[in-house]
Amino acid sequence: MRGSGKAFSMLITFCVALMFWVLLSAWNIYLIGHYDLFRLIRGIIVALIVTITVHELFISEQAEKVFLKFQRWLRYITWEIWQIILAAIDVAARVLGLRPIDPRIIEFETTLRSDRALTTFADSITLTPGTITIYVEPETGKYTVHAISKEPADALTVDQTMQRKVGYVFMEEG
Amino acid sequence: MLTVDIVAIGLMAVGAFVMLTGMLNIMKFRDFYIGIAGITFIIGVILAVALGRRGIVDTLAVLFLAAGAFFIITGVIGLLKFPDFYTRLHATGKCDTVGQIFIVVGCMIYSGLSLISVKLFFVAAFYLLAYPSATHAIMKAAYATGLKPWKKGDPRM
Amino acid sequence: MIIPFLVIGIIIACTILISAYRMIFGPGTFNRIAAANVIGTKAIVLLIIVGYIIERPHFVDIALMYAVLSFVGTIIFAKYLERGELCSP
Repeated sequence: MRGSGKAFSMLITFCVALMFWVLLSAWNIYLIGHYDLFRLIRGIIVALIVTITVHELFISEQAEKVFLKFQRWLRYITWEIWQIILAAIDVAARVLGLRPIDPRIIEFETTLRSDRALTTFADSITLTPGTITIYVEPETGKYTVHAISKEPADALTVDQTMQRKVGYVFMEEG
Repeated sequence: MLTVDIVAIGLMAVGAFVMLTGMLNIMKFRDFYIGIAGITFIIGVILAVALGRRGIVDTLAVLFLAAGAFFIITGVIGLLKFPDFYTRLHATGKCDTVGQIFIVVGCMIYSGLSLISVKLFFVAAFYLLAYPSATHAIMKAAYATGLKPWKKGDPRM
Repeated sequence: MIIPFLVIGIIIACTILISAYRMIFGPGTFNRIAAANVIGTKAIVLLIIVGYIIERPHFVDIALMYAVLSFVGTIIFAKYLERGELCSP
């Protein structure tokens, strides 16, 4: 990693860690009416330790791509929340006996390679209609998935909408 | 203040109508319009919460809590009813996550704009991150140890 | 407005009891772990709701801690059953 990229990732990690500390420890604003300096200094020390420890894991990209990926990720996550609600209604209908269940195990390959894209896609599969990730091979991008019925399995193997969206977010479409 | 009430309720009603019609496939809406409807709904909620209209806010919170209770009860029925381990995880992994997130969002709306809401938001985000990972870990362990999945026509396990 | 929170709290407690059936009698180890995971995550929501019932919403801090602990416990249990040991050689 180049020098400027390292400074950028450390800065972003430090800001996020300090913000997290302030949000989680600011309850005594209600009690004494102000946020004392000693608490803030403790927070800065802890945030520095956290930054030095984890900044390579938190942001490991070039500086110019991070904001574009974050923007695309926000758009993806809104679509994903909508799909999660649809999935819950679908599974609730299957539980109450309104739709049949016909479980099966399917396998398919994707063009995703980086850790972050693979993890995002696996979590999305688990949260959206009737499919749960069982196993992932990082080298070939091969997924083993347990599907509760035929239509959710077809949505992953035939339509491939979610794969294309995740590939667009992490710029790894084949 | 009556006009504020009417505007907030109107925004929420339009958003909820478009989302419901998209959900039930009555009209063919694209994802783009459903996203706009969701943003409209959220703007209505924020308007009611920020101006402190307790009637609207309490009604919304109770609606979200009721939706969460429905999904949680469905998840537990699935945990008892489904025929084998893998399908049971389907019921708990989705219905439970969505139900608990609905309950947390109801508490957020009830609290309004405060630090409690921020912490509740962290709890909801942690659910979305952790629950699929835990489900995947249990399922991978079961598949690696050779537990056979149930096929249509087999007896219950 | 305490009554809706009371009703939701009672519903969650009943679902925890019903899940305990799967945890006690469920055939095999994995059904039991799945039920324990369900109970653990429901306990978080129950903590938040109890905080609202006794009008002390700072119970959310305890709920956050319990969320992390429950998640780590489930992961460790699953990994142990999968490999038979906790560290790979």
